[in-house]
Amino acid sequence: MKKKTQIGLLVLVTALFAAVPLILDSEKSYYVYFLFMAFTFIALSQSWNLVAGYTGQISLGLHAFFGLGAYVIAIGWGQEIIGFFDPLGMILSGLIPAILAVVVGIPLLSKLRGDYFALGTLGLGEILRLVFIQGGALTGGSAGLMLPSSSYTSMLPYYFIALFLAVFATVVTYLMVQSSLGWALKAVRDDETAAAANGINILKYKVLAFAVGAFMAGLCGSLQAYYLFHIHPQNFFGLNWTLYPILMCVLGGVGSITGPVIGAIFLTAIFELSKILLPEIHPIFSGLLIVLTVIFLPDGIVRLGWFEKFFKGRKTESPINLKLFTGKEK
Amino acid sequence: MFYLPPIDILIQILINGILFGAMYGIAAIGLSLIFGTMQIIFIAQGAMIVLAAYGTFWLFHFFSMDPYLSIIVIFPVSVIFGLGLYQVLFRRVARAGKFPSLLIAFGLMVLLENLMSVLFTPNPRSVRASYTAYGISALGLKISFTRLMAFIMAILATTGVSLFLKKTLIGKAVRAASENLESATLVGITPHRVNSVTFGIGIGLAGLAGIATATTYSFDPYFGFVFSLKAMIALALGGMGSVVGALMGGVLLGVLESYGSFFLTGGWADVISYAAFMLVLMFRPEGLFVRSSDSEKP
Amino acid sequence: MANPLLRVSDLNVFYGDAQALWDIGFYVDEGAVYSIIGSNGAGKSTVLRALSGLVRPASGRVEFLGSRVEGKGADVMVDLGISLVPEGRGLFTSLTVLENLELGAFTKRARPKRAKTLEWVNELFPIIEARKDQQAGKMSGGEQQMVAIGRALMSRPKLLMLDEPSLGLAPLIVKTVFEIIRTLNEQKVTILLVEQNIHQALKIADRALVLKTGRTTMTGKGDELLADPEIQKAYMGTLRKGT
Repeated sequence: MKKKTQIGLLVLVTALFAAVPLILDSEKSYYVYFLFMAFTFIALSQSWNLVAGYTGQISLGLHAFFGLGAYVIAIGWGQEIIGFFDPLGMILSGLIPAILAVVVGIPLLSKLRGDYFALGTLGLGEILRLVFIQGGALTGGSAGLMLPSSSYTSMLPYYFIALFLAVFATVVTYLMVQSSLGWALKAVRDDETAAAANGINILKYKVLAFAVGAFMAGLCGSLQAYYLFHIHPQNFFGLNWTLYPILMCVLGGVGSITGPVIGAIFLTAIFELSKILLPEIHPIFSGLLIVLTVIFLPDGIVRLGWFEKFFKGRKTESPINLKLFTGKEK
Repeated sequence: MFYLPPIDILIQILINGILFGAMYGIAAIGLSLIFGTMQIIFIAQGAMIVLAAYGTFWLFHFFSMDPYLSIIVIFPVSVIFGLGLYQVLFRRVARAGKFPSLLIAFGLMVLLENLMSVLFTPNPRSVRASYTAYGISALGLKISFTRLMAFIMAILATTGVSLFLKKTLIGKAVRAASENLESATLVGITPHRVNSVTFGIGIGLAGLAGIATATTYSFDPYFGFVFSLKAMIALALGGMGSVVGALMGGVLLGVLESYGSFFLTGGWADVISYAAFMLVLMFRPEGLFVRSSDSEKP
Repeated sequence: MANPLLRVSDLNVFYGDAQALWDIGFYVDEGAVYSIIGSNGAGKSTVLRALSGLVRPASGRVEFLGSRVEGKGADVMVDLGISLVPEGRGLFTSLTVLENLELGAFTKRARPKRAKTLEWVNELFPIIEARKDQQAGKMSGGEQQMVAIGRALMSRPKLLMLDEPSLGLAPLIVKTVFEIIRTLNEQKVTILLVEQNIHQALKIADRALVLKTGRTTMTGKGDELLADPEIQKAYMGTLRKGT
């Protein structure tokens, strides 16, 4: 696809989604809620996608930033520093996770071996969960914090903010990956040692991508906090907030821009359906799905032959090499 | 104000920590072996341990089989399960690098935790044998029998794995493949073979850790995630790729936690062990017990 | 003469999208020394990596002992009798010398003869026997090269491939390494040698092939190529007096 077509497609799809509340009753329609969740997951998936695409590494700590963003709102509102849908609060809920990402990211990303990053981000989520359980009156302990749910008036602001987040995350990811820097990183990603030897300071950009990803995840957390009005560690620091976006990216196609979008919409639909039909089995199903996807569809939906043909897209390469062995050597 | 308890209490805490930590050590050795050949942290190790703990529990519950006697069932079944797991889930993706394997391990963990929750209910379980509360008293110290058994199992497991790696040809092949996979294939070692061996032993050790868990803890289906994290901490402390280091890392973590939970309220002790984990990952990822010259690869 | 031990034809190898070898073809007779020479990055190592099974060729034929073997994995190739001493030696540095040698005889074919082969290797390299319990990584470069060759011999290869065995070694040791190659050849081991030390490599070779950016530029007898003015001009301007 050409650049103009891509922008046109993005505007068209966004406009279509923006028009949905005109047709459906946003207060009663289940579809509006469904799209709200799907948009949130698109933003989270793009956040993970950006980090994977830029660093070539797997983050297992999306829930850390998501939960932190939610708690920024919960504590801020509880202490009456910020209010309902407070722009300052939402910016803070992105910035604070981003700062944490910089602090943790610099040492973790400077190691060349990827496992430290995956483990470190996983540990980060667990630490935050425990800290917020231990936080006493400020965080409400394991029961969490209740926010004044009487503030709720309409589903519409949630819908449009979520749509904005999804578009924002997609555009930012697209711009960062398409930038000349993004291409340079793609070129050196497979041979980091050589890049380091050539004096390319890729660490700076990796940390930047990690921070931007954390910013997006924090924003998603704040929106969920405003929606649920009850913020507690088990939910907001739950591993599902990391698991689902990974699954969505892998299924859709890691490293592509459309992949996470397709994966997020498709899987949100499946999860919502299975929540209704098979509430007990639902988490088993997501675990099984991740295993099956990696084994049988490692390149994602967007790299399937028929899909590529249909969209006549350029072949994109997955940044974290989920492909089966093709003969290329390290 | 800081209160320093008498020395015998401090020693008692130390011993508890050592006995406790040995169990983390067993789990960490399994992680270390799998990490050596496949370069992945097998996140589902904790879920495997809990699965084995359930095995022990049900054998005790339905057949009144003594938990320590159930080793003869649990250990071989775990080894076979590990071999099968590699063949079914990991063989196809093993050569594509570590990320597919890492994601599969992650998916497997979620799958097992929730499967156990549906099958066995989320209620906490524990094996209560006649000797569960029994303790050995000596020199004014009290040592729990089940924890002592867990410690002995850890020592035996460490010795067994060390001997296997040092004395048998396939064990040497595992060490060789962990160090240099390409050279290993050049002498005729099939990567799948060493991978499945390490998986078999790794999950076998998870079986042992499961027995130790069932006899000393009360556990539920989601207990494994924390156990995985603890085993990773032990591994990070001890240095990846060293069997004795993994055990020592586990013991160190046990001691840290033991003192931590004595001086602080329970939850903060965990925060401290995770913080230690993060600091080690960030600043000394080769582990505390590895001299930096040993960890360099040519 | 009967069929050659190894016959390679139209071999093409890619690394990702980049083609590393174009239509390489040559044959190695049983008992011969065959050298592949060329400058850095010409694709010499890639030929050996493809023949050893470390890299899968995109197309072409590799016939060994009369049967097709291309595309088989490295662990299978060594069992068939093709053994590679990789560039940089690839020893298991944390294992002892003896353990390295034991693993050299890992294949089904070599394992039953291990004790006997070990005697032979010890005879070839007395220094190995003396230091068998030492960690391989703690030996000098020249000693490590001998252990690496010894380990490859433990698999009882019909074709021994050596990738830059003289790289990074002192001149005196280089001489020893080439003496060893000659000795091995006298003991009926067929050798495929990749070298940057072109003078020595051609002197020892029955036949040789010159590679340039992945393509064959010349083949011929070793001494003929050695006397070829073009080779002298291109590769041996400064190297001659040293060797």
